[in-house]
Amino acid sequence: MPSINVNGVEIEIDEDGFIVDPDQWNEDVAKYFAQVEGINELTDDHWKVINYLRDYYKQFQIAPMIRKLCKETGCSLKYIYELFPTGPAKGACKLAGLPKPTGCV
Amino acid sequence: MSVIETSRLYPNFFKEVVSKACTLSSRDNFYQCLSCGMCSAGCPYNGVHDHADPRKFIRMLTLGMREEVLNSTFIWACTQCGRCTMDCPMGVEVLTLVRTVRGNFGLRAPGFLQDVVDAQIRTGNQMEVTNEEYLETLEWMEEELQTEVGDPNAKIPIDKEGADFLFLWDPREIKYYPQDIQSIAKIMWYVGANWTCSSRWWDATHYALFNGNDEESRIITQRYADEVKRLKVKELVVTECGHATHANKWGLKVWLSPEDGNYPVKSIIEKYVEWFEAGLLKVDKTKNPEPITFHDPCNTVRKQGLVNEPRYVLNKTVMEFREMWPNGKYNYCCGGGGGLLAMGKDIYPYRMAKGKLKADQIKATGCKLVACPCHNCFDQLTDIFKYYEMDCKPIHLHHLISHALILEEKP
Repeated sequence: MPSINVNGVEIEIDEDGFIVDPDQWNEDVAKYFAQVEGINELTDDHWKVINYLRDYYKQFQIAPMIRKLCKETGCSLKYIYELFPTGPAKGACKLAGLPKPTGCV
Repeated sequence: MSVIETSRLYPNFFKEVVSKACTLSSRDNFYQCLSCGMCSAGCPYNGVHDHADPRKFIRMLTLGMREEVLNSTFIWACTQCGRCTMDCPMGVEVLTLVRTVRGNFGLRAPGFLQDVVDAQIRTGNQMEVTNEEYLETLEWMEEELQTEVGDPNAKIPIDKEGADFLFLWDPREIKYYPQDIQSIAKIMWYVGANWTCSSRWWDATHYALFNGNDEESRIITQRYADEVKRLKVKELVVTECGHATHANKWGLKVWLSPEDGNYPVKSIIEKYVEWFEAGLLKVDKTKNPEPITFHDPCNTVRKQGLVNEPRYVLNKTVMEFREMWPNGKYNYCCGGGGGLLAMGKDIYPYRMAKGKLKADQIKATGCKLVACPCHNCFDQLTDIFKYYEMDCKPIHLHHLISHALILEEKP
């Protein structure tokens, strides 16, 4: 199983680069994934999306609908793509430390 | 040198597999194998990675090597792309044998393939989107579309009785890529389609095609047969998704009764062609100036014969379409078919090894854009581009069409 090393901590990732255990997530992990996904700097809006995804996942163990994500964070879909060029599923969810959703994403 | 122990053979195993096979072909055909090896020559992955030799698989079946077959990597590493089957001079459906072995002998698929099927059986869709979330998302995209085109009559109809066709989505579109909904609905609006979505059963995908469980396949397919009846539509139209196209077109013939399975099923690609031919789709090619190649999804192209349709659409929609080689029904699978995309880490190395062929095909065209009317291939292509560090992007046909529509000339 591949892993990444963030600040000396080995964190297991799956074959698509998603974190395996969401509890291993921390802000530095998000910064690491940002680099991988081609995001230079994480702005307040990035964190707003990331924190919303984390809170939602903690509560429901599933990623929210994009409709909810846009509504609750006040970001348009277009803006989400500007923030996370690889999109909400492969980009935002990965940075937020959600495991890869099952089903074809 | 390995030894075949006759005491460990099950002489009736092959007969059992054939008797359980879900097929439109004659069962006699399965016994016609000449061991000529055309299947192994036809398999693009034979020689690319281990466990990719269909002839060996058939030999093992016919010899009755039950345990070896059931424990083989071959049956999961095979993408059921059908290229070996196409090349077989005797009509032995190797892909059917693979599917039958997968689903009828108590095996559990690697990775999360079974979870996806379970989710669809339980919740109606593989991503467990609730009914409320689904309807809310359609409504949201309807509003976005109305704003985009400035027409309050641009609708995404739900449960419209007597519509011309019922449209099935890929749950990816609903859950993660809602902009695809808007793009497709824009085309429907433009041509004035009399269409409807279902509020009940709307997931076109069908992963039971890959776990091989016919009981689950029957349950899923029956839902759409019932919806076609309830909504009194003339036909069922499936979004740009390869296996969903095949499972819905072929599936009603093998999993439903003749009374239930008697409705026409089309890929939306066929509708694009109809609309172009009727003069309803008017696009400005110059909006798609970049050279673009086309990836043939095996399920749509090789298995369902839609070779010319996507090419017709591309030639109408883009400035420069370049074929990759081989193409059409001779295409190579993306490497993620047959449910491999849902089989997790153990199958991943095979998936990437297969992807190398596709990567090389695409590189040879010099194109950065790859048209791909299949969500599964779309994901595999994205993974390949990342893995082989290619600056390429897959794109659906509806994206190419919807953003090139000439709004002033809307019929």
